[in-house]
Amino acid sequence: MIVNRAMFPIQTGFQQITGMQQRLATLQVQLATGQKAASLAEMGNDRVPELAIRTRQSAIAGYQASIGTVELRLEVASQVMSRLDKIESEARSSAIGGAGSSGVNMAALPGLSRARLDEVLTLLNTDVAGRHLFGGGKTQDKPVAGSAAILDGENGRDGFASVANQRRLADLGDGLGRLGASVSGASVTLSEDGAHPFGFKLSTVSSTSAAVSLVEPMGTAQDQLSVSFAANPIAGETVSIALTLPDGSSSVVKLTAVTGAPQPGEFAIGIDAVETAQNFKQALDETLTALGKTVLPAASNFAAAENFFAGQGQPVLRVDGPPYETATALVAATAADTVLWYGGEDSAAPRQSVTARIDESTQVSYGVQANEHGIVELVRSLAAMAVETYPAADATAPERFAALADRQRLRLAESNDGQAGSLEVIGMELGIAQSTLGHAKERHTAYKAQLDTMLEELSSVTTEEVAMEMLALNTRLQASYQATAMVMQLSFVNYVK
Amino acid sequence: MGLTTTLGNALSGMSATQRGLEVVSRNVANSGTPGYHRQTLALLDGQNANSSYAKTAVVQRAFNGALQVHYTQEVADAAAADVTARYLDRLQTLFGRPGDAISLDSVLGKFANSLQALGTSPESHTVRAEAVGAAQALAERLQSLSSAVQGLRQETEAQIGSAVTTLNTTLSALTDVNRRIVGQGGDAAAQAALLDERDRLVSQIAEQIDVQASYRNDGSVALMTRTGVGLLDGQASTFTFQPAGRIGASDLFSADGAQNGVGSLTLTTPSGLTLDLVGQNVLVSGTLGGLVTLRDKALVAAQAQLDEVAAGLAQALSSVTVPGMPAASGGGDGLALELGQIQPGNDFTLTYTQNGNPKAVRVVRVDDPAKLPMDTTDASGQRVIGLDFSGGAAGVAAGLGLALGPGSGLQLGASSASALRVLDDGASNTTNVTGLSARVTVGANQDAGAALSLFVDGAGGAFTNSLDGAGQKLGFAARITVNGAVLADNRLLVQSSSTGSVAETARATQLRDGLNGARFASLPSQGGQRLSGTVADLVAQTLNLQGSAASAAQASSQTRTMTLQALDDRMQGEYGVNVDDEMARLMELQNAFAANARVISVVSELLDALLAI
Repeated sequence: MIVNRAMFPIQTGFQQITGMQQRLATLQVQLATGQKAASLAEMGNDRVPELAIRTRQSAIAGYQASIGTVELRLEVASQVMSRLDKIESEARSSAIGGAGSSGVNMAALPGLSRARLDEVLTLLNTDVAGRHLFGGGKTQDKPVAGSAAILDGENGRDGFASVANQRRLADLGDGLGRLGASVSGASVTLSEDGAHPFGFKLSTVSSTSAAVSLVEPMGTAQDQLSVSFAANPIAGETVSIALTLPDGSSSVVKLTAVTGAPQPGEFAIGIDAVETAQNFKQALDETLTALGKTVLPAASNFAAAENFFAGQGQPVLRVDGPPYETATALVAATAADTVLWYGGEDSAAPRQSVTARIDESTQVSYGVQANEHGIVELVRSLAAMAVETYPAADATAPERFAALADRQRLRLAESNDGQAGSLEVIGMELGIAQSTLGHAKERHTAYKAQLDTMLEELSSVTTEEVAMEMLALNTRLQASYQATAMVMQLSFVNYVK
Repeated sequence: MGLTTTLGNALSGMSATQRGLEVVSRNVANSGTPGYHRQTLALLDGQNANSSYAKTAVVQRAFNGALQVHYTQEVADAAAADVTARYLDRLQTLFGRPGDAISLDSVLGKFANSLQALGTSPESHTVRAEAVGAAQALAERLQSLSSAVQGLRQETEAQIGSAVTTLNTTLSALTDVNRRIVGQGGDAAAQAALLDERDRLVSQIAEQIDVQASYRNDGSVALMTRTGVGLLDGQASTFTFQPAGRIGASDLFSADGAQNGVGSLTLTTPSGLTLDLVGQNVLVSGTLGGLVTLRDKALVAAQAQLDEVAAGLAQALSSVTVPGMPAASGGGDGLALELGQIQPGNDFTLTYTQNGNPKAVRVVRVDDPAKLPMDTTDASGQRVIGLDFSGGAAGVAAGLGLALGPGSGLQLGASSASALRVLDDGASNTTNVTGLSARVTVGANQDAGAALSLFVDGAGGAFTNSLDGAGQKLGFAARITVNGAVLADNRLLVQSSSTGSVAETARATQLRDGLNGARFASLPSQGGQRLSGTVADLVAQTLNLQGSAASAAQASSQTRTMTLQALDDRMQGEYGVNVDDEMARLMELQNAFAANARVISVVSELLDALLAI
């Protein structure tokens, strides 16, 4: 109550003492808590800067939490990339062309490749707390199927082994690799049997003989070339036909004219040009058949691998059929008939598919897709090697193996490292993200320390100041008590008798 | 003769001394009684036929008119400052210190950080659940602060009621005292006691309501408020307070009795005239004045600030920007904007340059005809126009053209039934349309854009900041809740399309950027203080305003109390009993009495001697 109705209301002198006691109590609280102000109103002008500092501190805490989460993911992704790199170099160095001493390498490599493929696919399915790292933006589901399903198929859907088999059949055709040789008179014509991507494709033809006239292939679909013998060639002269294989590599059929009995790769010079031409056609047929049993299957496997393990932005394709030997087109594979190897996100900028904000305007992009170039090449090579077998009894086995091994070494070579999407480039980009993260982390730590210091200066009391004020107040309070007691005792009543 | 005269003198001296002792004893007895004014005895020497003798004149009561007036004024002001300081202090304690777990800025910071984490790990159920929890904590904090503010308003009503009762009782007691003072005849002691009671009652009344007291010669007092309304002049006026029951955020004072949502405080004069004290601004100070100011201004302002924060929060997360498309026609080119998604309360902004000077105007959709025409300025200085959208794009174009005036240099028209087209002036090239975009509330939880109505208006669905009626913002802080659909399925926090995946970050990024980037500026309202900035700025400004209001009120209260104490000291000096003085006077009276008794005994001896002759 403002208007005091209490008997003997306290005089102003006493109220001042009460005020001093309250101040003493406040100082005690300040000393104990270390804070200048105990409530919003007491903060005075410090309110605005303190609010601003606390807002900034809270924002930094949020960023630091994000950095912690992303750091873990990047670390795991980096480790996976280095393991993949190691597997790549192991695969490359074990793909030695030769059969190896006593054919051990040849017999072991398919099984080894299968095991490596298994490991690669498991690594690609790595997840951190349920979040898969190699599917781009689709982090909820496994990006790649299991190796058993991919190679052997499941639930009535074809795996890579079947698809590659079909491709081999399509490329081989009736044994000559979808080519047909015919002779009329002294001219041999070699032609592709249709406009389709399968089998050998005619590239160039050349000859060292003056007696031979050539009609080059035109580079169109369903190409053909012809070799005409105007006269008999001289022994030792050659005719070379360059063929493009389904996987883009090339092979040369070089036939040398000989006078006696021809060996593989030679044709006998006949009595006249017509007979020479016929011998030439026969030699051509034999050579093509031999190629079709050794080099062509390897090329087919890799072509099938390129179609089955589709890269970024490309559809999964398979041979349209049955029948496969006379297939003329590739058709897009559907989830109903084929095991699709990759189910993650397919974007043109894989790194940007996953981003995290770690500062006001700093982002790290750390998405990786399993269908990026380097990873998919590794998977293709391992799968192509894993689906073939090389039994020792098979005469074509060594050559088949050599063809495959050569291709594997070429695809996994270090010279590919500079390409976008290669394992090294991915690893480097993840490394850049990690270093950005590290810099942001340091910035935040330093800034937070600064803010903590500023807040401390703003809102904390200096213990010495508080203690000094308490001492001074203590002295004044004691003096006031003493004086008040003396004054109270001074009353005339005490002296009246 | 001589002896008789002597005897008579001595007897009169003794009786005067006795009266003096009476006064002294009364003073000493009441030395601690609050409101007691020191009494002194005035003595005169009188003359009658025989001699001169001592005659008591009158008991004088210490009274200083100027001091009393000053005191009455100061009591009223101190009471008003005290009640304001107490209520605002409680309010700022509820707000909490920045950095406390319950403080609004910490809760908002936690929510912002949870949205940040959502952007990094949208697929994690834990992270989403934490975000929903943080949102609920924020909504709950706003609601509890709102209910605290309204609770304080309710308390002020209760206290007004009890103050009115006290006031009425005191006024009737004072009327009674007045009558007795006037009617009382001569007994000086009783008169003095009544005057003391009068002064006490006037002080009590002054505590409740600011009064000016005029003291009549006969000792009665007439009371009038500082604004000139008579309270007491012979007969007392009666105060009546009609409480309004439960008070919510939308219950505000209105001079129109039918629309008044709070209690009504009226004064009925003895002649039957009824006066609305709040509507006529009669109360200036005193407890009643302080309580009414709190109820109708300070606490309403606090609620308005909370409503701004809540509205900004809801809109930051649920706003979609619809940009205008380039359009050209007949030489002029500019932009066209689809108006179909604009709901009541949503707006679009037109920016253009005229002769190189950039200009901007914001057009809000207002459906309530009572609010139109509306042309005002918001807290960031931008011009805001309210228009009725029922006439389609053509109606909007006409209304906007009217508001901008013919000199704007723009061609306003409709490129289709629902699309507004704004073109510059073509060949003369003095104007250039630089921007036309709408800010609308997202229409559905999914498949309508990346924004999300995470906070909704508990009563009526999405919050569009409609200005119709009392405005959707009024009291929104008490109604804000988290969208029930999100509570049921927290994947809505990240899945902006029903066929999307849980791992996509588009919506989480939009929510986070919206919260950190959306800027708001409040329109003039009843609240008083205008806020502007991002949601975090609004919160900081609110805390700052509440804290400084509370500390200003406390400082003011302390100053007034000190002034009052100084006045008290002065009054103590003028009216108070100094026991030492009274003791000294007592001794003098004792001596005088003894002397007079001695004179009487001497005269008695002499008379005896005379009679013994």
